[in-house]
Amino acid sequence: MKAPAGPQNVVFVIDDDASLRESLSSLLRSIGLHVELFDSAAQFLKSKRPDVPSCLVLDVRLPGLSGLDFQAELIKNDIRVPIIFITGHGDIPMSVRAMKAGAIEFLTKPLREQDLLDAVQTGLDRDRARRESDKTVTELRERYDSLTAREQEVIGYVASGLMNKQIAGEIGISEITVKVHRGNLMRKMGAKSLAELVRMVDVLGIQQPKP
Amino acid sequence: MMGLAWDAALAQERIPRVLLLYPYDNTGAAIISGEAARQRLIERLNRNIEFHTDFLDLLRFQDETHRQQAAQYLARKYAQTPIDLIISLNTETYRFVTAYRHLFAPNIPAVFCCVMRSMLDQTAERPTDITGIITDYDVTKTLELAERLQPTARNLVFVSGASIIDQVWQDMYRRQAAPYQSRFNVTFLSGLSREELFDQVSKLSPDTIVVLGALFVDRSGRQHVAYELASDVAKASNAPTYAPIDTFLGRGIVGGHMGTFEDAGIEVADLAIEVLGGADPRSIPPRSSKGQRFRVDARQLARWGMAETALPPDTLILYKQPTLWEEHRNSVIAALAIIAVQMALIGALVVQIFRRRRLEQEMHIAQSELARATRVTTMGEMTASIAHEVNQPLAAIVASGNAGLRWLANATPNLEEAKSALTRVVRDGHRASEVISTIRAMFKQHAQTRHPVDINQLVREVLALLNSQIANNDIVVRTSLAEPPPFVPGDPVQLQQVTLNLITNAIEAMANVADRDRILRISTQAQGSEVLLDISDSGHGIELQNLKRIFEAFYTTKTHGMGMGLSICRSIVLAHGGRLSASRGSPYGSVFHVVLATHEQA
Repeated sequence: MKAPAGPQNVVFVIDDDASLRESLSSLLRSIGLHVELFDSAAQFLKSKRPDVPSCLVLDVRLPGLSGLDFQAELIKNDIRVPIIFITGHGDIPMSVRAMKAGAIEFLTKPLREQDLLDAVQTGLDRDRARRESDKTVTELRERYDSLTAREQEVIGYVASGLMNKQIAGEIGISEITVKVHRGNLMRKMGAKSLAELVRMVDVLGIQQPKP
Repeated sequence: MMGLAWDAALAQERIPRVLLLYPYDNTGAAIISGEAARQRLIERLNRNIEFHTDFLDLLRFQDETHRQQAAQYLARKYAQTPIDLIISLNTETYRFVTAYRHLFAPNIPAVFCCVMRSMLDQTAERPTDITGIITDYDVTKTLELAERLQPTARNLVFVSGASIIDQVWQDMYRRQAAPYQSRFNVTFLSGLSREELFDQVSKLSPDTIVVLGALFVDRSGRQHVAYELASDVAKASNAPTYAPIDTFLGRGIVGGHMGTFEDAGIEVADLAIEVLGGADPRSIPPRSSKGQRFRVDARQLARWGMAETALPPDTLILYKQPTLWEEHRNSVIAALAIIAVQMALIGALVVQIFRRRRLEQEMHIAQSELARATRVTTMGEMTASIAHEVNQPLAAIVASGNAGLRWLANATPNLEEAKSALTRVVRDGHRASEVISTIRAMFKQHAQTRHPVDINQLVREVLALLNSQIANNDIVVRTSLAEPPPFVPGDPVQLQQVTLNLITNAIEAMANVADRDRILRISTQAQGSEVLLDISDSGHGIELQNLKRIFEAFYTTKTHGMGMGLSICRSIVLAHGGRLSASRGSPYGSVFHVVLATHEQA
């Protein structure tokens, strides 16, 4: 059981129209989503956002800063929240630009209920996946950082498929020592098999030495 | 006796004294040699030398008495100021020194310069402790030069003055001329007056070689600076003149074989230093000046039409007329530099002009963009704004409706949420309605701000705004504006929007016209209580069946456009109590007629 500390997910809505904000909030809440409302991009940036899977419903036409510019701003600041654009009068170039920059959906007002709910769900799923992947990488990075310098050297050779004997030859240590390093690094990385270790090395993006 | 001069000076712990003896006054060639010698000594002895100078004036006072008195004077003068060395300048001084030195400077060494070789040879009792630099005044070589330059010459004339010194020259010439008697008719012009001399030389036949000698005094006894008289004679002469005398060169003679008085001065200075340094004058025989050579005046060669090729090898050609380049090199370089600078400036200016032109073009583009933007903002923005304003409550109504349905459809219906959703639906419905009435009110309100608007001025402003667009589209504008300018009461901004919109439409209508002129006609006309503004184009025109529809909202024939422009234009014109209509042009194109009332409608 989870502690009732906070919502499991959150949908941010930024629209300068209070009425539309409330309507959207009501609609999203009616299917059990947690919603936070903002009347401007600046307000959103200033807020302390919960660290849970989330997505953003954003009016393209915002006072001060256009939704598209805001999207660019978020990308620049590494705020990786999936965005669903809503617009009163969207044209094709605008939507193409938004989608290219990573928007989930580009919806025209008045919104079709199902389109919005689907898009929000997609956004939350995507953010959740991204968070998990980020977490995995972070964990792997931590494990990798716990390796000794020699183990970090050996891991590259192991992942590139070299035999212990070959690795010993490559870096000029005894085969026994390589074997010990290999055991240690497998354990530290939490890899149950060579295949798993290779995948980890791949995720970490470690340069594998050319044998 | 070795090092006598220095010893004397050193014994008394003083710098050596040199007596410069000049033959005449402060004119003449000796001055040149004396000054050159003085400079040379100062330079080489690092100023450790003292000079005394005396002018003997032997030309004006030619008698022995004067010479004796001069010697006695010098003896008294230098009795308490012993001289260490005498530098004797010129032949006459040499004669004076050899004859009277025992009176004023016994046993004091002397060096000389510019002494004629003939004179030295003639001096029977030449003191052995006097040495110096001989000037040859080589007549033979001078004549060799003359003969090369005048191979057909038949006459040879020697010119000299009337003084004793001049006589010495004449004697010398007579001796040296002897071998030429057989080949030339030799004449001696001496002891003539200045005028007689000029007369004689001016009558000489051109196949004459004239050799000038010393010309200090003419028959009238009048004294001359030798080279000045020589110069005048040379200029007056009808035949080329020559002389072995440096100071005559450059003043009218063709040339001769000669050294320079300056060189002689330098050489005697060097000799003086040797003697002062202790060299025994007896061991140094007199020597010829080293710089003696053929020298000619290029200007005189030109004057007499003589070829440089005829000159003996190693002839020094002086006063060569510099070529235009040589003479004006600095001016030419300066001129070229100025031209270059000017070119650079012109280039820079041209670049600037181009840049400015480009900027102007860009500015025109910007202006037309601006005009277009203004129009789009006002027309397009207005429609977009209206759409947004209406759409926003509609979107809220739809969302609230959906939400309400969902709240009610839940397993446990949330009536509170459903209620507030429905409340919002009602509220937003009213809001949408309000938006519509606000827009109506806005148009009415706009129409109420009325000022007198000059329609001609309005047309001109809009044309100016669209200037580059008109130019870029090769459109010919023909305006026919009413006089006096018609005024109508109205909102200047709105009326400008209408005009701008109509003219832009006209321009766009002609974009595809290629087979005829693109003519934009604008006319204003006052007609009773109305002003007519007609805007016509030579485009493809509007189909009859579309003529009515074009003023409907959202009707457009353009690929880009919302179909609001003409609709709004008509609204504005109507709000001004006017009419906007369109007709087909004749033979092609379309005409838009704006009719505005000149007086506020009651």
